[in-house]
Amino acid sequence: MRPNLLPTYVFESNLSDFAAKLAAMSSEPSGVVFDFQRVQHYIPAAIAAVVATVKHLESQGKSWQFRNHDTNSRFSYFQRMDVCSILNIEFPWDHSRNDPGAFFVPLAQVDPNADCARLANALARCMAPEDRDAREIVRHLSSEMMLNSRQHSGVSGFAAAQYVRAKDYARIGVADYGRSILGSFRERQAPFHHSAMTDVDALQIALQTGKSSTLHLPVGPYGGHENAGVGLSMAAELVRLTHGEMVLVSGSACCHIMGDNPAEFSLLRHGRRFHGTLVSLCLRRNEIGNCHELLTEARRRLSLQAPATNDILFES
Amino acid sequence: MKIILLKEHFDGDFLADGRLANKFRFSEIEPLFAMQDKVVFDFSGINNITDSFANGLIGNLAELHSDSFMGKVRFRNCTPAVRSAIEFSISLGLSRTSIRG
Repeated sequence: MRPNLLPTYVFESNLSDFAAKLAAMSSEPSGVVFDFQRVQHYIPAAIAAVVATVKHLESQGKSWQFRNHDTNSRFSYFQRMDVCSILNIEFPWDHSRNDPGAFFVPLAQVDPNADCARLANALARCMAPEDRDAREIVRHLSSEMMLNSRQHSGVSGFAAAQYVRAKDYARIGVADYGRSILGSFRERQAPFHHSAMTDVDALQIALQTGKSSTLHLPVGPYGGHENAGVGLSMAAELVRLTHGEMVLVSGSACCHIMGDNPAEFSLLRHGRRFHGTLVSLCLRRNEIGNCHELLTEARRRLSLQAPATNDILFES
Repeated sequence: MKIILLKEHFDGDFLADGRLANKFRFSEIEPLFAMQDKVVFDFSGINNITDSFANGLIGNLAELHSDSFMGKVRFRNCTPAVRSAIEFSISLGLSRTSIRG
């Protein structure tokens, strides 16, 4: 098996290239070697993507191995993120390298029965233990992203979070190795799906309010719908309002939102196709302000106005 | 009139899971809906809910009972964040009714 040298850094700016590299590695017929020789710093979404890739390989019956992770001191961060325990890698604990400026939550497996509220609470407590508004936004965003993964991927996803004090960045990352957004539209025969639909088309639709692969389906045993198709569009608006950054990779497509700018859609390099969906959210905590005002403004931007008679519905 | 204290049915001050909300609506709320003149959801002790949860419980109720929803349902002790999510879910639910016709 040929070693694949992993990049030194993975941030939002090169996350789609990293997804393309993982996709290329996954297509190798004889198994994959992940070489950690140069690895220094990966955002949570990138770490989740590595784990999702390994799980994808295992689901394909392919072999894999990590190389030079045992000689790279920065791998201890992967270890503390619980990569080793999730992937059953034996690795001695290194207690010597704790970065006092970074707080993180280890990877959580988002399986079909995952308690997403509990996981989101854990993420939020780490991100903003004393800032109630920031905590609410982080747990709102992280739970919606995990619920999306749980409902649409068809497999387990992985979620992690990190807060970097020096830059005031709170990052949430979720990755799965499931059917992708386009695949979810196709398999569930969403009314807006067509045979010529691309992954980019699918991302554009998924970011529209009220568009979901499940809303048209006959209702399940409980009637009604589990979701409303607003998780991604709300995430995008919250990122815009807080001048944050969002990267969404699904299949061959990537959507990148920076601050209040329009979403930029692109294809992964060399026509690669990531096996699943990967989302990274980065917020500056001091931009969050009032949680209620932020959520209300995001919903107002999504053009859904409250019914005029709403005041009579709410008692003090 | 029936008062539903959400805190008695769900753990924590943050309600997120649309699947649990929809199941709760089906098993606990729908049977009441036909029998009661008023159904009051009391959100005491709940700080925030996701759009998924609001849709699973409230949006679906608005969609499936669009004729009687406004007259029958009330909300109590909502934080601003909870109220915002509920209002949004009602809009979505009623919009789905109008699309469905």
